[in-house]
Amino acid sequence: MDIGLLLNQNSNLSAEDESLLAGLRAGCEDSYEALIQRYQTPVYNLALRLLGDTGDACDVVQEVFLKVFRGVNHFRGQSTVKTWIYRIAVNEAHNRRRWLFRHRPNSVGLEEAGTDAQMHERPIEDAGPSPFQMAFNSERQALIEQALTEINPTFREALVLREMEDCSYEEIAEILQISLGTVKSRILRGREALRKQLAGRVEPAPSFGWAPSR
Amino acid sequence: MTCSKVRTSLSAMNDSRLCEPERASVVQHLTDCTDCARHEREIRFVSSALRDVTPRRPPIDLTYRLRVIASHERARMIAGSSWLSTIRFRLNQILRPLAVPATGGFFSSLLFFAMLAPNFTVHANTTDDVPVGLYTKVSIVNPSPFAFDGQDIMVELTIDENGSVSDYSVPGGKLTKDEMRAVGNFLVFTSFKAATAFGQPVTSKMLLNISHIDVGS
Repeated sequence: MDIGLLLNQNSNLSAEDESLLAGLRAGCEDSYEALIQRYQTPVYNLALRLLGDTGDACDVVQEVFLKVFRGVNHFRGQSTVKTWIYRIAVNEAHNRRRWLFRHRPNSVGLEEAGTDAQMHERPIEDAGPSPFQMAFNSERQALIEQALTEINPTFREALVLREMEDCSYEEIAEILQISLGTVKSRILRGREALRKQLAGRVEPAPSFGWAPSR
Repeated sequence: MTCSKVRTSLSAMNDSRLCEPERASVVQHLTDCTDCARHEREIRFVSSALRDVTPRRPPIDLTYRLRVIASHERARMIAGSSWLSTIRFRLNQILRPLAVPATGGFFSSLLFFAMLAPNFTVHANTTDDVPVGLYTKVSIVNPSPFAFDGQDIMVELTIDENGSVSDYSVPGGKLTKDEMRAVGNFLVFTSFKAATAFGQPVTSKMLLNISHIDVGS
């Protein structure tokens, strides 16, 4: 049987993904640009949530796209392009974390993580909330992000994919190469861990549920 | 249903992953147990708080770096396919940066020339132009200023391409010595314009009637 026919029969790709992959394999410049435009931000945010550092996240994003470009001819379409790219991103973040675990204790940063620069990069909408609300949201977001970095990375991966990247349980199972039961368990434990982390830092408020403690 | 069992089901219920009977049991328990209800609110808050986190925008330089990587990988992929694709890719890489400047230069020079063109005037010299007809006859430019002494006489002249008389003869008969000298003197001081063929001067013949006109007394 023709291997192309076999691959097509097993393919889970949408027409859009098929077109994107065909363009990448043909060396079409627009397809490369489309891939970057579509997945740059999600992959960056995924890496950032998993690693908690913008510099490391940027390095991981570059590695991910390099592997995607080089592996596009070997991708057989047994999962969606999104799942494939996220799997690479999670693996790269995992590798990066292991590398950091071995090397980071020997390095000393010049300053704390550049939150000022990150704040400037955040989009500010015209019809946005009041300065108080903005400050409140900003502080709450910082607390949640900080709490997220402190839970077990194994649970964090599943939780980030579920809540922030809006992946289904099935997609998470494919990305992390684990069973559905394990996905369910990791998400549960991740939420519990995060709930405990936040419980120490925020206190319930009638209107918002929880509010940052003073 | 025990509190412990309910709390392990809250996460799945939040994601709508519980079957209906199980969900109904959990909901029933939540209405009865305030601790579990609070726990459920906290789980829901954690979930919504994570979903509300604003995605960060990647740094601008990351986009540039990704484009550079994409360009290199694309070149590598094309280079591995066929020599024709490689040549086309290289040409594209070389010529594309020049396309906009070259087009802009061409159109701006065109515009500049169109603005200046009306100011250019060409003066055509039409006074001494060479006739380009098939054939023009020989003509007298300046007749001799001296009067001809003798009787009327008809002479056949041969005018060369320089407009000079190269030979002459009298078809009507022979001339005397004095008449020959008078005709010679007359012709020496007469200037001719040579005949032309296709714009080039050529040797030709003409008949000239020389008359004696006496206007005295």
